[in-house]
Amino acid sequence: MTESGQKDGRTKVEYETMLGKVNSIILRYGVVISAALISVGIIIALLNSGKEGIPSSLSQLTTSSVGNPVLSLATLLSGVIALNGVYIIQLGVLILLATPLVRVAVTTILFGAEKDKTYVLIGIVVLLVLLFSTFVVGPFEANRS
Amino acid sequence: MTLPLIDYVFLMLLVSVFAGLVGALVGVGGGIIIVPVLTLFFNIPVGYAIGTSIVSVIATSSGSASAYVKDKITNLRVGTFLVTATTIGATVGAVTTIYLIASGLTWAVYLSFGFVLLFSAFDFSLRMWRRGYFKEEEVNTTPNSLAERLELKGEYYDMALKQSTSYIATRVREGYGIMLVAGVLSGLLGIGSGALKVIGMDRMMKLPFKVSTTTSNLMIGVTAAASAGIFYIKGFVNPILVAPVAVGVLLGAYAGSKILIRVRPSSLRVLFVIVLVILGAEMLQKGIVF
Repeated sequence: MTESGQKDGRTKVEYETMLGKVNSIILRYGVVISAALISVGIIIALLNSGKEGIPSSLSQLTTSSVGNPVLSLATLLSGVIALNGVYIIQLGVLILLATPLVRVAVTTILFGAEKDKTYVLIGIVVLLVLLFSTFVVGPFEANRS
Repeated sequence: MTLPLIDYVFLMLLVSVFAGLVGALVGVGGGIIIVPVLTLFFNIPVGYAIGTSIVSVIATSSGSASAYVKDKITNLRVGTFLVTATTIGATVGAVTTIYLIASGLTWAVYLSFGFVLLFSAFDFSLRMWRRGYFKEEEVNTTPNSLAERLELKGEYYDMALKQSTSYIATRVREGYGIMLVAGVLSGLLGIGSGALKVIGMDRMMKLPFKVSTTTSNLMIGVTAAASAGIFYIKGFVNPILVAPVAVGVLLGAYAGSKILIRVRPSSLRVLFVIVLVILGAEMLQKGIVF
């Protein structure tokens, strides 16, 4: 192998190692932060069950407003700041849902940094499908009775 | 059904820790147990049960994939390419489930779930009985143009064999087809459908077993995110239903991954098959008498 070939080989290994590390960090932080928020949120919600719109029994849960999706960031954050348990869980759930998307987005950018055009394109397709399902199919299904 | 909320949270936390623990020990996700337990024992409407389960599936995937992706066993290109199929499938699956529930065809969801549970029990027993057979894995090393163009190849260092193994995917189109089906099942029933993803990569595309399982782990989260987004907007992701399940499954799976190194759980596998069969039969019955 030529000297430049060896150098390329080493750079490639370094790149793949970095790619794995970045993916690992995003997944770990995503899951740890959301699990922490969900745990804190459920404790607060249980302490308030029977008031603040939180039902006291399981049977009332699916018909109460507790399960309504939070669609505005301002509403979500003001709920979290007010230490509303349900909103804290919602934030945790949304971070959990966003983690795979963020991971694919960052990986796609890193494919771009390596000038891997095929995988930049494939990554964009995955992101488009994810955004399409949540922001186009989701509202369509929600509005259909 | 006037179960106090706090009782639900504690009971479901226990069930979810168990599901995550057993799932990690026997090598499947806990999602397949969550939906039957929520619908059969807690009388939760199936749409909400599926919404709850799919969120916990993302949690388990993120938790377990983070360890393997760092070791470079997971093939990020294979994963990224194949999730184009699983996410499209999952979107179709989620839309189908919502349609079935809205049209009063909920029995069809129960029946599908029952069949998938029984089939998993069957597939799982087969793997147990013929473990020796499946251990002799065939890894493809013959290049082909499609896999070459899509860079569906790699090498990884096998700790047990103490050597580097190169591989390249074969039968890419067939593997992609299996991934579409795995995606539909995931979105339809709120499960990870990891077993089918592994079949697609390991048996169809002839990738190494370890690469298949770890890449499947990573793909499960992206697949689940596609349908979870739809279920969330639809209002099927109830934060209080979700909380004990997501946290419990994570804790269980984490504990399971630590125990796994020391225990060889063959009696646990038998127990797991029995649980799958019982839940499968109950779900079928619920679909028939619905």
